[in-house]
Amino acid sequence: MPPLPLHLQSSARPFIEVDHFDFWYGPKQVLHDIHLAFPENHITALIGPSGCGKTTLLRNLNRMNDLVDGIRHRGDIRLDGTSLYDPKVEVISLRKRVGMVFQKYNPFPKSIYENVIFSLRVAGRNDRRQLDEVVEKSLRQAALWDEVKDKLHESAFGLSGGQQQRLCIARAIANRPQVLLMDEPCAALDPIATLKIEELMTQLKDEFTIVIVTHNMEQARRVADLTAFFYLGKLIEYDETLSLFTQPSQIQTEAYISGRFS
Amino acid sequence: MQSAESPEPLRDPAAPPRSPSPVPERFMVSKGVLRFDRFMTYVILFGGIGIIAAVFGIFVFIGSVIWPLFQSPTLTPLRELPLATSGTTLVGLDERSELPYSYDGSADLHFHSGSSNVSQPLGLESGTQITFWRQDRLNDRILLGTQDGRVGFVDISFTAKQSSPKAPRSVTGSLKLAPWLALNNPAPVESLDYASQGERKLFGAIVNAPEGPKLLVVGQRQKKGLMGAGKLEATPPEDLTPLLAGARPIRVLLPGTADAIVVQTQTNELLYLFRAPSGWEVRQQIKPFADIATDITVMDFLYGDVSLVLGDSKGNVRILSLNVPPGSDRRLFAETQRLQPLDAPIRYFVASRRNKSFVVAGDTQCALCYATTGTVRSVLDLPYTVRSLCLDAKAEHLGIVDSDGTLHLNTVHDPHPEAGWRTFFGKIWYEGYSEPRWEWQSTGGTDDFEPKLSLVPLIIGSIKGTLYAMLFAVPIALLAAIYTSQFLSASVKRIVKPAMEIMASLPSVVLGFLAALWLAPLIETKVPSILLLIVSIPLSAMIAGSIWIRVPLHQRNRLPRGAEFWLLAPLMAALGYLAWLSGPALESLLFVAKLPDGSQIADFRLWWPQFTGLPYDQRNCLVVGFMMGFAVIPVIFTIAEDALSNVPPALTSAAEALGASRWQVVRTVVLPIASAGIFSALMIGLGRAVGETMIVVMATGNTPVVDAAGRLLFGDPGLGGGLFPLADHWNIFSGMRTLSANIAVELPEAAQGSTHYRTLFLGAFALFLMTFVLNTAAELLRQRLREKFKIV
Ligand SMILES: Nc1ncnc2c1ncn2[C@@H]1O[C@H](COP(=O)(O)OP(=O)(O)OP(=O)(O)O)[C@@H](O)[C@H]1O
Ligand SMILES: [Mg+2]
Repeated sequence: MPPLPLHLQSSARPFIEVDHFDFWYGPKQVLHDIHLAFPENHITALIGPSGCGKTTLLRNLNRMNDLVDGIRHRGDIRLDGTSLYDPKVEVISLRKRVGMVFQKYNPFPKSIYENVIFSLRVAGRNDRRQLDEVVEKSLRQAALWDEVKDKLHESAFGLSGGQQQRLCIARAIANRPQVLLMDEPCAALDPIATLKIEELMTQLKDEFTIVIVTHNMEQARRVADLTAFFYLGKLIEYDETLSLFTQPSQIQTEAYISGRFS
Repeated sequence: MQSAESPEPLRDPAAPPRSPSPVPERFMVSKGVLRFDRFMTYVILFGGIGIIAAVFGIFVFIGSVIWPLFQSPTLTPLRELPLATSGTTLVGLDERSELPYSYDGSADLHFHSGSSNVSQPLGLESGTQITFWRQDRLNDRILLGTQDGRVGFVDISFTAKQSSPKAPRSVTGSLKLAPWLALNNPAPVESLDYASQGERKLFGAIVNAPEGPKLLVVGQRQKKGLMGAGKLEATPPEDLTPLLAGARPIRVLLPGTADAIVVQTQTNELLYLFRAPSGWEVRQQIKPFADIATDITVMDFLYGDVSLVLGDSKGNVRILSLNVPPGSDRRLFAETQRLQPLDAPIRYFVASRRNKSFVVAGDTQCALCYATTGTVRSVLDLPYTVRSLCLDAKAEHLGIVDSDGTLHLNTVHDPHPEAGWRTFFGKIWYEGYSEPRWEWQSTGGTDDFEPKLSLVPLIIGSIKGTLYAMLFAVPIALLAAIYTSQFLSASVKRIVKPAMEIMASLPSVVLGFLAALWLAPLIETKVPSILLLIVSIPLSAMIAGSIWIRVPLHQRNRLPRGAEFWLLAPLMAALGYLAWLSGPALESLLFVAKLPDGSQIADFRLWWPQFTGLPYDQRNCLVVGFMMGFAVIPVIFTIAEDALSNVPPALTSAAEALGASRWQVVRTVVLPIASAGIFSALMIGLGRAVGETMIVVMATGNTPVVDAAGRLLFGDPGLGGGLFPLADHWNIFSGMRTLSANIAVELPEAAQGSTHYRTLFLGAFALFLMTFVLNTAAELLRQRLREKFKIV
């Protein structure tokens, strides 16, 4: 059983458990014995230097890495108690439970409206009223509604980079998944939009289990309940955000968060 | 402007302009780079302009070849010659129109060299009086009929002498009178014609006997002796007057076959008399101008002696042609063309001895016409009244004699009389056909062959070949591309793709060879099996799919992605084989043909023509479609596969992350984004199919010619006309010829500059136009798709 940080062990239930997980891209091992749990209805931030495997771990949580050739893993990941690698698991429904916002924004070449409701369309839900509601709610939560409400049926490519990123967030939350994986969701956003997204995350916390990758220490500090620090594919330290930032137990962590990292 | 008093203004207007500081060396672009840049700019410019110029040049070239087809004829006055006699009725021209001759029924024939007139006696014994004379249609020969009921002819021959190449030619004519034949009716001959077919020779004449006019024929047989052609032996004359049933004959015509006579009666009827084995009989009785009360003034055969040109006193010209009408087994005349009426009555006629053009004239009008298309190509309004007409053997000079006895020689320039929009695209009633048709048959065995130059069957052939090829290729190529790019496991894909690319480079000669020698005989007897295959392959995919869904999830998940292929492939093969085997069973169940003797036989090849009335050829469109499909599939496949594979993985993973199934990803994301590329693939495949030549040439043989000959011989087996005028052109089990194949087959043997040659270029132009229109439309559509689904 992968542990939650001490102080949470009584109050929160681990929703995702990563159990001694190793991962290879071909011959190259990218994750080394990752062992941790993400608590339900909390925000967990993954931090670490570039190339340390944050995205890789995230992509394993909804089995997006299945699409890559020549991958291999050892260990297990459990979602709400069931292994992701259980043969009975249908990947499609797994991905419906675990939403994802990618590091690079990637709207479809469709209208804004169609982008948002994509997950409902593929689930076969076509009730116009319901779709309209979902579009408005999702776009409002992603802090985009006011900017696009008059051009919902125009191409998503007419939006700025930051707007496209928020559109992708709206798209990820439209079908209300249980888990939301966000890979640097605010990298392309201005401070105001960033704040709005952070607001969204705190707001969604009651409903979702959120895992966020960020390079912004301030952001991790502001929104995350828990923070995990990775280095060279290994989990170095995992703790409540405040204690990790104020009293890091590892020197690498301290070096990284204080910016003295090479 | 609070800084007006600032101690140092940025720029003092009075101060001299600051000299620019030199740009440091490291920012300067090296000379070499600049020179190379300029060089490359010119190279690219040259290339671009070169391409445009080349395309334009091809256009200009094709245009210049086609252009003369649509030019109207020109007649230019050459010279005028006063003829010696004024009552002249007959003129003729030698080969180069250097020595025209005239004959007026006297004992002498006159040659007119321009400066001098030379009279030559025909060599008649004294007392012989000529009462009828006319020019032979083919030769420099004048047919003569006498006061005392004898018939004969005089042949005119010309010898040209030229002492040196620079010296003027001197042409002299000489005459040779043939022995007379007596009609055994000593009465004046009123009308006469002569036909000679091999050793059979026949005169037909009308004599004005005291008891009334008589229609007589007298034949000659050439006895073949040991020493070659022997003596001519006259057969006794026959009196055909009883066949006329009392009608008064006024004009006779004999077709070159020397086995029939066309007689014009005073009541403006034509009687077509034919010599059957049992004797002469009336085959047909025609009233050609029954709808208008008028007199037939001109009746003569066109070159080839299959079509009759009739002119009347009101300026109407009609053409009757011999053909076998449906439901009959003998050739009869039917009206095939009506020409635009002239203002003047038709009085004179002369036919070309090279093609189906002819000249009619009356009063002061003269018209150059072409019979196949039924067009008046040019009308001349003359300042004099026409008295006689003549054309030289090459139809290059037209001589018109006026009422003062002056011969006006004109140069006729009409190199492409048979060309025209109607010829290329309209239905035309050709000689020997029972109805107007679209027909391509550019060359024939005889000189008097009537070229049939309709591009319609070729255009339809092109469209048909393309259509069937695309019908076969597009679903296979596209589905294969989708499957390969999106579903197939990477290891298999690494083999499939290069294999397809190798297939794309297979020379089409090889495919055509396979089609002709292997596929055509194979398919010929296996049509029911193929029908079953077409059903069984998608069916097996559906069965495999439904089995796959029923496999429990945990077992399915254990297999790697793309493994379902190994379930599908054997199933498809097994079902396909089963379908192939059960073809004969289907055949005996559904495709049972009745034989003429009443027995039944299960054979699709016989059943198809019986059921649909359309022919079944061994080398048919199905074969071409299959083989062209094989040429087109790899092209479409590779390009479409590239387009599908190039859809950014970010978008497909986004869709997958949102819970879309693999097919949903393909349908909602991959296909729309790749649509422009897929469209290009289709267009390139279409281009290959439209222009494909070798496969069509080899896999279809010479079908249009064979078809036409078949129709000529056996009547018309097609549905043609009525509700489905083109039904037999679209028949999948008949052959075809495409524009491109036609050019490949016929261009090498077409004489440069001939109508045939230029028409082939017109075909090329039509092909170009077709692809141009198609590609432009496709490009516009593709642009829209690309705009709609662009991802940057
Ligand atoms: N598809 C792939 N194939 C092979 N190696 C990969 C692949 N994706 C990532 N890697 C490697 O795995 C390692 C971890 O990559 P990952 O994208 O998880 O890093 P990251 O922590 O998200 O970095 P960043 O903060 O820059 O996004 C890197 O060394 C990278 O080179
Ligand atoms: Mg990353």
